[in-house]
Amino acid sequence: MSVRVKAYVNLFAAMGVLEKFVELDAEAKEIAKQHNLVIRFQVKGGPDGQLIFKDGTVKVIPYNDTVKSDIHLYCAGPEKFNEVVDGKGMPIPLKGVFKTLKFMGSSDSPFSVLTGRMGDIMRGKGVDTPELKKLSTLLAFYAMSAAIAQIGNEDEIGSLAGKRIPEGDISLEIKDAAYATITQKDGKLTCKFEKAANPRAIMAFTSIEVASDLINGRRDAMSCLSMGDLEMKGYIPMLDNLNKVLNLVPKYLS
Amino acid sequence: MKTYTYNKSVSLMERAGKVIPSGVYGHLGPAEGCMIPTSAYPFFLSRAEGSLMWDADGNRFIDYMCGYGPNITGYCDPDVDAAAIEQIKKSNCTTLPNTIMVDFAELLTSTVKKDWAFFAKNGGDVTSFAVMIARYYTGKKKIIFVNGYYHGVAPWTQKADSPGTLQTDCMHALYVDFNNIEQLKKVIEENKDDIACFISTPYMHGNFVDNVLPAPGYWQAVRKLCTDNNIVLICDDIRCGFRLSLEGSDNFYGFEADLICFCKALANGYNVSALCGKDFIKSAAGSIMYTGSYWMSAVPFAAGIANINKLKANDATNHFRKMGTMLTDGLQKIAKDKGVNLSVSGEPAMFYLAIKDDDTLLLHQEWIAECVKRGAFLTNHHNHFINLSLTPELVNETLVICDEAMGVMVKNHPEVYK
Repeated sequence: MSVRVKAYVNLFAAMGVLEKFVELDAEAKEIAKQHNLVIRFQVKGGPDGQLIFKDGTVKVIPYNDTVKSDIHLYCAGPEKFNEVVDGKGMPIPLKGVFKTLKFMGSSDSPFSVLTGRMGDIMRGKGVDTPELKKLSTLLAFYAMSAAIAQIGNEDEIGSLAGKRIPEGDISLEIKDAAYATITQKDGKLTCKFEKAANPRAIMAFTSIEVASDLINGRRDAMSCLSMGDLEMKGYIPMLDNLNKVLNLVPKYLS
Repeated sequence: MKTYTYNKSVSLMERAGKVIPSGVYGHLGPAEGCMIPTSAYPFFLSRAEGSLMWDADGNRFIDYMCGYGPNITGYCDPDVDAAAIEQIKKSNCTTLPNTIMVDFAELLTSTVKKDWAFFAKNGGDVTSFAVMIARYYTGKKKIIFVNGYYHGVAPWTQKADSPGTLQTDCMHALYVDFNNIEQLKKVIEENKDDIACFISTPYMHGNFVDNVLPAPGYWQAVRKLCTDNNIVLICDDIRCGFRLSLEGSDNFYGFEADLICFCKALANGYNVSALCGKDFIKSAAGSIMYTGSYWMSAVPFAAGIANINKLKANDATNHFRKMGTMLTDGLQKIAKDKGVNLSVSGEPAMFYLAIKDDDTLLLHQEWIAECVKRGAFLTNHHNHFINLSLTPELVNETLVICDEAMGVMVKNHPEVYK
């Protein structure tokens, strides 16, 4: 596992799931509503991105200099950033020191509460109701989808497969529950948490339970496919290569 | 037309999934076999005869996959099976090879016009051995592959991102496009003195793409480049072997391979593969320790002899071409009448089908699924196979099925077929 790729996954997949978390969880939405902020995480030799909190929504985007940041946080390397994500370190605030302290300076500050709760749910900690179980699986599905794009772009092995994915949209689905679209364009993968309008290929879990089993490693994709619990159709070379990236996801999202 | 259901197959798959990884792994399984959707396909069969097979639920299929190639004379061919049964009464897997091994080697080498034959079990055994021989003989490392290739599942045949493969397994691989002599020249020039072999199927019968026949002069140019640069020319004839010509596909396309790999159709499903080669490289083959527990079993040799003799006696390759052409001409007429753009490529004996009206392959997958549910076992993205037992009556029956199936697909897509 590459520390650098882990940093990309942490920023754009693990934190990226905040977008869906505040949409799906009322408590999280309530916290997010109270803050309209743009936070930049700049990692030397690693990712550079912005978390945009606006009116109860969250977006995580690659750094865009036309989007003004209220807080600018710097990490001296991917390892440092990964420590921050694990709650074992603090970034260096280059801008918005007081806002930083207020928003994420302690364990009971809003950002820490938000990410802490999301992390617990994704890891299954305190997940004891059907609703929370469903939320846990959905968040894991979105994180997995976002991680595919990061690993397919940044990982040494993953990028071999990522580049071989033919151009177009791949729809990842939990039927009637969750959708993500992986787009390959000009050799780069991107992920959006929305249903593809015209996908060239589709990978669909037939239920939340199946998705949960596969994401958590209790079942493998091939056996799900054999049992009809996972559908793959369309331009199969896209899925063949996507699966190779998918195989690497558990290394980064644990 | 009644469509099939597969309750017993599904039940068997549930049992299989508990004790076998993926239930059915590899190319016969739903994943690698591109059974899309899986609900349209049976997973297990109960018996097969000639060109027909019956699945676990008793559904009857006209089979155009032929076990992905091995069925060439017909399932349970009485002549081939009789030879195998006769041999099993004498001996099979023994301390010394049975004398029949020499008979088979003589028949095979004289048939495919090579000087020697080495027997193993699967195609991958002999492609791997061919590369080892080439490396040992030339003292060089690199392998030139043709993009879209398939030469088995050994690590040297994989890409670095394949699960279980190391980057170092692929570090001596070079890639060129089929029919692209200029590219081949460039690769040879850039890696001069380090290329052990060029390995390729006789024509490009890759999956997911229209199959491509060799351009006039292509193979002759490849042959010359290999000879001029001390590169061993390996023909992977595992899929095409005995379907285009009984003399080997190198002879069919007018060139001479140094090493040629056979497997699938060699013994009508009895498990034997063979590497055949020219005399100059025979001692290199003999110098390498390469063997397996069952590689000299006698029963497949007896089956192979009966199989080759039957193919010769029945002008088999002409039959394959005729039946393949009859079927694909019929399919194209059906498609044209319905306004469907159906592409047929490759050799008629191993035709490849693709509906070209979308860039997702979904329309094609829907049509094939409807064919399978009605008893014509076609596959989505792999070439098909014709065998000696296929009759014009079965081809006509297939066309009726494919016609109705295409009608269903067209009706379901008014947005495409107005």
